[in-house]
Amino acid sequence: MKLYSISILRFDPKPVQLLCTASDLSSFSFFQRSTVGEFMTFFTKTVTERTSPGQRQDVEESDYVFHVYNRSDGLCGVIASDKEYPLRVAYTLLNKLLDEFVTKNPRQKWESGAVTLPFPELDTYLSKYQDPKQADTIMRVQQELDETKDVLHRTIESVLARGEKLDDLIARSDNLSSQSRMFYKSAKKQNSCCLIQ
Amino acid sequence: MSFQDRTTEFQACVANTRARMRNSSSNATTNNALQAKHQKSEFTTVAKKIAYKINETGKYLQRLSQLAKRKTLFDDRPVEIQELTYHIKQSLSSLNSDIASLQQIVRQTSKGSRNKPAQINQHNENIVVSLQNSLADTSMNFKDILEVRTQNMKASQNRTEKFVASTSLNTNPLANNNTTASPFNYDESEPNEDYLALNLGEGANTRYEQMALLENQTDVYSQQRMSSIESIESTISELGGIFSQLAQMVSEQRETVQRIDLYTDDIASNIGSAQREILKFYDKVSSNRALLFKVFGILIVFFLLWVLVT
Repeated sequence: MKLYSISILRFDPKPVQLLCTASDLSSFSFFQRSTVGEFMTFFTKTVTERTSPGQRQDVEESDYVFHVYNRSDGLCGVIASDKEYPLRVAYTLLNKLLDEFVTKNPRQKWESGAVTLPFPELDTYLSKYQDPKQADTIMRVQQELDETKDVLHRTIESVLARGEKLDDLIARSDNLSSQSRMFYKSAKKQNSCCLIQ
Repeated sequence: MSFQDRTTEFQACVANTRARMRNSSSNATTNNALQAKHQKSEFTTVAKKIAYKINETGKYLQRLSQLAKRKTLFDDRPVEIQELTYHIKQSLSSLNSDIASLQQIVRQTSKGSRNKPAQINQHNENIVVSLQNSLADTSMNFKDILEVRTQNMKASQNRTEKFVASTSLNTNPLANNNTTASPFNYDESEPNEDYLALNLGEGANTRYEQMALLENQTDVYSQQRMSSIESIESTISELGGIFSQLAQMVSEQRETVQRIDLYTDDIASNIGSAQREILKFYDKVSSNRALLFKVFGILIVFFLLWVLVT
C-alpha cells in the first residue's frame, strides 16, 4: 500500500487554491511521472470543488483512491493513495496535517489570493506514512500487541513442555531414591554380618 | 304611489332604543346579568379560541398528511415535515392545557353563580366535552400520519440503499453537480448502473443519495476507528487471560517441583549413608587389626582345643 501525494487546498473563498503539495511518484516510470503528477493535481482540485464543507469522501478511480476531507473552516486536505491503504489512517493523517498547517500558518496567510506556502512536514509525513503500520499509533499498538500475544503463546507452550519434563523428573528421582535406599541397606548388611576372611 | 316620509318615525325609534339600552345598562339588576354575560362571554371566547385552534391544527394536519403520503424518493422536504410535526405537537399540548383550564372555568362558574339555570351549565359542559373529543380525534389522526410517515421513510431508505449499493462511489457525488456528460465517468465497466443512477436522478434523487452517502462516509470513518479500537481492546483482554493461564500453570508446577526436591534430598541422604558404610567396610577390610584379632582368636581357639584334648 502506497501514498502517492498529499495536498492541502483552500476551499473557502472561491476559487479553490492549492496551498501546498507533496508527492511520491517513484513507483511510476520516469516518463509517466509528469503526466501522472498533472493528472493528480487536476483531480485533486476537481474533487475538492465537488466536496461540500464538513464532509469526508473517498473517490475511487482506476488504480487510485482520493481521500478528501473538507474542513468547515475552509481548508481541505486530499490524499491520493492506492486502493489498499486503510481509510482510517488516511483520515487521521489528514486531520493531523490540517491541524498542524493551521497552527503553523494562521488564517490570514492563506485566505487571499494565490499563495503557495511552504510546509516541509508534508514530505516527511508522506515518507513516514508510506508504511501505515509503523506510522499510525493505533496500528502500531495493534502490531505490538500481536507480537506480545505470539510471545505469550510460545511461552505457554514451553511452560507445558517444562511441565512434562518435571513429571519425568519426578519419576526418575523416585526411582533413584528407592535404588539408593537399597544400596544403603545392602552396604549396611555387608558391613554387619558377612566378614570376609 | 305616494311616498310616506317616515324618517322622523325612524329617528324616534332609534332614539327610543338607544335610550332603552342606556336605561337597561344603568339598571342594577342587569349588572348581574351583564357579569353573567361577561362570564359567559369569557367562557364562550375561550371556547371559541380553542375551537379555532383545533381547526387550525386540523388544517396543518391535513397538510402534513399530504406531505407524508407522497411516496417519492425525491423532493422529500424533510425540513418542512419536521417543522410541521413540531408545530402540531406544540399546538396539541397547548390545546390540552387550554381545555383543562376551560374545564376549571366551567366548574368555577357552576359553583359560583347559583342563579344560573342548569341548562347553561349543562351546555357549557357539553361544549367542553365536544372540544375534548375533537382534540382526541386530531391527536389520533396525528399519530396515524406519523406512522404512515415512518413507514414511507423506511421504504424510501430501502430503495435508496438498493441504488447506493449498486452504483459506484464516483458517479454519485459527481453526478450530483453535473448529471450529464460528467468527464469523470472513468468507470465505464458499469454503464448500466450509471444510467440507473442518472435516470432516476433528475437532480433531486442523487441529492438524497448523496445525503445518505454523506452520512455513510462519516459513518464509515468513525465505524472503522471504533472497530480498530475494539479489536485492540479485545487483544488486550486476551493477553490478560493468557497471563493468568500462565500463572496458573506455573503455580501447579510448583508442587511438582517441591516433590522432586524431597526425592532428591532422600537420594542424597541415602547415598551419603551408603557411602559411609562402604568406607567403614573398606577401612575394616584394609586395616590389619581385625586380621590380627581374627588370627589370634583362631590360635587361642586351637590352644584351647589342644588343652582340652590333652
